[in-house]
Amino acid sequence: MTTAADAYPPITMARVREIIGFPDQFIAEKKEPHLGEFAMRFIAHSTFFCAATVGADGLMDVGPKGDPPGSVRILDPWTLAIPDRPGNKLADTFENITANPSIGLVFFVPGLREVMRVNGDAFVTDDPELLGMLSADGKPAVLATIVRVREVFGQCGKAIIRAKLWEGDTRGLAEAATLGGDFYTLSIAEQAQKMNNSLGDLVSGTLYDVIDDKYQNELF
Amino acid sequence: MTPNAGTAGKLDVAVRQLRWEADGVVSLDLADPTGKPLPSWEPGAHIDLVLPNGLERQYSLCGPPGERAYYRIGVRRERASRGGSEYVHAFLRPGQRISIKGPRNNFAFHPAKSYVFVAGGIGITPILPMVRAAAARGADWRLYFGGRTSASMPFLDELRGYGDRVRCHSSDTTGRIPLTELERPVEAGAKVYACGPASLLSDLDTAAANWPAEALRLERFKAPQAAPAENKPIEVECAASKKTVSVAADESIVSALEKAGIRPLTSCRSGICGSCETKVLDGVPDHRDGILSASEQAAGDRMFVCVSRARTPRLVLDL
Repeated sequence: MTTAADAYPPITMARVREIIGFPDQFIAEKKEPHLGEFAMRFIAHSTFFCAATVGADGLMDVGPKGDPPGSVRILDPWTLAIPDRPGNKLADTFENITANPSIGLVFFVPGLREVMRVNGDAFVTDDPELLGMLSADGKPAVLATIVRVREVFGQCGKAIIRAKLWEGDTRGLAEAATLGGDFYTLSIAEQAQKMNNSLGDLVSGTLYDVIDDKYQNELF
Repeated sequence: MTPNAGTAGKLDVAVRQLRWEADGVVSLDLADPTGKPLPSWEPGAHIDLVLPNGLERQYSLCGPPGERAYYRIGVRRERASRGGSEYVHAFLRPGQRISIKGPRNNFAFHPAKSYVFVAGGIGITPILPMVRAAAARGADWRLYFGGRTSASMPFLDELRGYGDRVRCHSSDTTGRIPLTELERPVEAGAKVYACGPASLLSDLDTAAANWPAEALRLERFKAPQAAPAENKPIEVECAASKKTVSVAADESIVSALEKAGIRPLTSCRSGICGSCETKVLDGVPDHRDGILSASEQAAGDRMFVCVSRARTPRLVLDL
C-alpha cells in the first residue's frame, strides 16, 4: 500500500548537517554521565515526564506520565525510581523494558521553559520498601521502574515557549526548583569548569542576553 | 503589627536558617518573610509543613517557648522517606518560601509541681520547649533522652546546660533508657511527658501501670497500628449540613464525606495532627488516632474522622 510518506524521499545525515549545521561546543559537550545537584532538584519538582522505550521488535514507544511533584525519586546520582500507578494493564513500557532496557526520559516542571533529559537502562522491581517510598495519596506504587542513569542533559526552552505550555500555572514549582535563579545559572553553577571552558566570556554576563535574544527572535 | 494571616489557614513563611544538628537531623527556622510575628504557641504544639512537592508533614515546634519571630522544627531524614523529610534535607534551602498550617497543640503542657520527660531520638523536639518552660518555672524535673547513637541525638549542646537533670542514654555507649527506674509510682501531682518511637512509648506505658491515671501524656510519631479489625460500613449523619453519608468498609469517614461534598479540615490523614477533630453528637466512635488518652477516648465526645470509625452502625457528627 502506498501512503503519503512515500511521496517524500529521505535525506542523508550529511544533508541534514548541510541544512542545520553543527552545535556549539557547550551544546556538543552538555551531556553528563550522572545527575548533578540541579538535575536532581529539577526532577524533584517535576510533575510530568515522557518515557520512551523500545520493544523486542524494534518498535519505539513513548508515553506520558503525570504525578504529584517529586514522585520520581532520586536514589543516588546514578539512579532514579519511577512509580507505576494502577493503569490499563497494557504495560507496553514494562513489556519493552523487560526485552530491552533502554529508556529515554524528558522531565517538565510547570512554569519552567527548559526541560531535563535522562537516558539510561531500566528494569522493573516489586521491592515493598521502595513501593512504599513511592506512595501517592497514601497508596504504595504498584511497581517501580529503576533507571540506571547513563546520560543527563538540559534542553533549551524554545519548544515550551512556542507551545505557551505553562501560561497561567500558579503552583510556584518553577520558583521552588530554581530558588529564584534560572535554569542556565544553576546548570552553569553545577558544571562550572566545563562551562567556563566551552562558553568562555559568555558565562561572565552576555549569556543571558544571547538566550533572551534566541528565545525572542529565533523561535521559528 | 498584625500577625501573618496567610490564606485559607495557611501561613506563608521563608526558611530563615537550616542547621545541621546531629547525624541525619537538621533544624529549620521559619519566619514571616516581612518580619511580622507568627501566631503564639505553647510547648507541645506542632505545625504542618506544606512542601512544594505537595506533601504535608507534622513537626513539633522546638524553639524557645513563646518565640514568635520564628518557628524552629527538627527534621530527621527517614531512610525509606516517602518524600517529606527527604525534600527538607535534599532540597529545601534558606530563603525558600513554603507554607505552614497551625500551630496546633495535641500535647498540651499542664502546670505541675514536678515533671519527668522521656524522649527517644527526634522525639526530643516537643519535649525541648517543655524542658525550658519547666526550668523557667522553677519546677522539679528530669529528662531521660535516648537515642541509637550519641552522634544521632540532636540538641545535646542545649541540654548539657541543665546538668544532671538531663540523663542521656545512647544504645551505642550507655545503653537504653532505664525504664525500670520509672516503675515505682511517680509522686502525686507529677506529670510525665514522653515522645519517641512506638517501642519506647509502649514500654513506658507498661512501666507506668502503677502511676495515677492521667500522669502520663504521650505524643506518637504514628497512630498505633490497629489490629486489622474487619471494618464495617457505617452511616454518618452530618447534623449541621443535614446530610447522611454512607461510609463503605474500605474507605475512611473523611473520604466518604469529601465525596459527598463535605470537607472537614484535614492534613496528615493518619490520626496524628488533629486537624480533623470533630464533635460527636450521637453514636460511639471507634478511636484509631494517636492523640487521645484512654479517658478522652472513653468520653466519646470527639473524634478524628481521618482514621477513626464507629462501634455503632450510625454516628451523628457536628459537621
